[in-house]
Amino acid sequence: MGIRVENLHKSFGTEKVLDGITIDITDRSFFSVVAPTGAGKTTLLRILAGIESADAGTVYYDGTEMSDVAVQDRSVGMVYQEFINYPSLTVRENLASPLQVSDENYSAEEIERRVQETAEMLKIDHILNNLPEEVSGGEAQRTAISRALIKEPDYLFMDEPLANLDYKLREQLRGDFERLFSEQDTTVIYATPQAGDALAMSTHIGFLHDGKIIQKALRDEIYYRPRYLPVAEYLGEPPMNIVPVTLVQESTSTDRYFEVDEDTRIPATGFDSLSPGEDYLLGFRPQDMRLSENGEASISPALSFVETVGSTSTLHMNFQGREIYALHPDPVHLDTGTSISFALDPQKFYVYDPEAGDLIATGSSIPSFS
Amino acid sequence: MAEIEVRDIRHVYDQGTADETVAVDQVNLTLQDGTANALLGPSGCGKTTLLQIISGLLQPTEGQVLIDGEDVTDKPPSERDIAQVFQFPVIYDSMDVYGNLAFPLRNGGVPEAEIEERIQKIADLLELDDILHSSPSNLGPELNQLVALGRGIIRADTSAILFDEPMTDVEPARKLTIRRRVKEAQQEFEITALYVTHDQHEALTFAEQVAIMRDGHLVQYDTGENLYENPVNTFIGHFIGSPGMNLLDCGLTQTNGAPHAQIGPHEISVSEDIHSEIDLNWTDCQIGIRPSSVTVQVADPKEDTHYIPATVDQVEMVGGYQILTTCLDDTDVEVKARVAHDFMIEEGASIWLSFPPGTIQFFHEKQAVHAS
Repeated sequence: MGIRVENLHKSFGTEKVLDGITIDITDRSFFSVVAPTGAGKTTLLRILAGIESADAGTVYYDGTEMSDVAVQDRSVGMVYQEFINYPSLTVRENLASPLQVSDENYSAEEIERRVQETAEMLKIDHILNNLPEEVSGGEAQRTAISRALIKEPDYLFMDEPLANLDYKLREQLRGDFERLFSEQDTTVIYATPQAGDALAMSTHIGFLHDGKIIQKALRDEIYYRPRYLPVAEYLGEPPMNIVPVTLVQESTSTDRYFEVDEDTRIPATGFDSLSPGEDYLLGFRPQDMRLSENGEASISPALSFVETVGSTSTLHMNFQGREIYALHPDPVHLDTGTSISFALDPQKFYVYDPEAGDLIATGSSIPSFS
Repeated sequence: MAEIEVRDIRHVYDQGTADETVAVDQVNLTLQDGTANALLGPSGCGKTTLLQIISGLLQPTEGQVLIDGEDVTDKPPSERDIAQVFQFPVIYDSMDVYGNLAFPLRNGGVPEAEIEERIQKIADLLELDDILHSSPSNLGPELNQLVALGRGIIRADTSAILFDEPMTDVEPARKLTIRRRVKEAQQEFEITALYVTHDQHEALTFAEQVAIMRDGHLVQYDTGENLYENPVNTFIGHFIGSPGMNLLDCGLTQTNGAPHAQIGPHEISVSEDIHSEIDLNWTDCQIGIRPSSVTVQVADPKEDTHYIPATVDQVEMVGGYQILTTCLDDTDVEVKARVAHDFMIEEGASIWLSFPPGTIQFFHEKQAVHAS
């Protein structure tokens, strides 16, 4: 029941939005399309659902070519960022309406059972007798999500459904969605600019860049092994730090270093496949930076400021004219301008090609996927 | 710059009608001169109403607003010298960025030389130098929001600045850098600021003190550290933190002369300094522990009885860490625990958890129990 997309193209006027998209969306997976706003996520979703046509390319549902199948004849549900409910119907009637107009002839008991079940799942069972105007924004949005879910469609398309929700509710729904869809037969296609939402919920993630899905993989694989720089720089909270370096090896020694400048050399232990004298982009995650104590420093960036939320501190720093971040698992109390140093572990490094931007080497503790 | 105080504020919408709603009740709050504050709460908690009362867009049903001790409750917004940054940037498309920044000063008859000097300072701080002569319509919403902020704080006589969900339109990937610039501007100008948001991350990163509202009431006004470490009740415990504090229903039992929390067959020690506060006859008790304080062990700790066996139900990547949702064995009690982003664990795995007594909060009838 998966979806296959072959060589999809779409332009609006002279603007090329989708430029050759080919992906397989695994049956019953939770597939997130991640990209910044304006990258074409919504267009891709609309074409996949059959609401919009492509300039070229083919969409298959479960192996069947779908070009001639109208959206109302497909087993799809849609949830948008702006939620749409019938204002004159109660929440209960809103939920029941997709079942009542369906050709499936649901019994009254079946409709009531599904309304109740879906309402409980999305925690709107206490407002079933209210009109949409009488409920909060978050509740109205959950009503709209429930309406899309109630027919238990084979394919559910969601376009930033959490964007307008309260932080706390969003956090809770992320967990609920993950649980809910891991138990259901629905294949979910979810568009979001929020790396955090995608990492929390998805089984698979595709990153849309310049009109192409440049990497599509299992959630863990795309996180641990972002194959291209734009993916690495986007999929993380905060994103991966990237620093230009040159690999150096003195003629008198076998030790290798990533040289940032004359004063900053980072051990390159284990990167035997790289060539001395070559330029690279060195990547390391903010979580993998350790404030150094006994002088074993790799880099000494300038601290701009510290944000502490609960037990976690995010250090904003300037290093070689770039913004870099470190995530610390305990609160740190440091003033702006304090000189700090970090020890970096070469086993957790990523090395990218500075021209092509593709991943060419990783440290030994980065998991591999085959 | 000024101190802002609200006293005994109550606001009722549609008073005397069938739709009468109390939006804000019994709210007292003082924002010290030059401090960064946030007003945080779920939608419908009354925070926007309170913001409008401070800015002067709304007259409170009861209570006063004071700026530096002067009662301004009856004054219109224009006489309060309070700048506002709204959800969506409000700027003039007909002027370039420089013109927008200069506008409030030119209106006030400030000499051009001084205007230029002020604009330069603001532009340096907010990193707007390169776009001073660009048209706002060619810039993204986040840069426009910085321009709106700059215009708000450019007048020397601004008494305070209010932010109403200013990050709504900011691209997620740009939020870190925008947050930093907003914060740096507040610090540099030492401007009294109130930042209204439903997003605890924004509130806690911006503000020295955060006021949390619920159902029209102010629940706790405190530093981020205290809100996190010492929530006054279970609502704050759950609301602050992502995910929130684990709140575990428990019974009470006496073991070795000390009160322990009882969860199913498991006994959990509580901090010694509240032993004398606990009444073993209490019901409706909960212990609270942060997911980051739960110690996770993968290997069977054998004799170490501090550990409770549990099963991993869900693994989520949240905020740069993994959050494990676990179920304590022989109970239906769910506990979330934070582990490193590269901690390798599968759903369904057996693990052991411990709750260090110093990190446990105790709640009776939803209120925190403290050492006296």
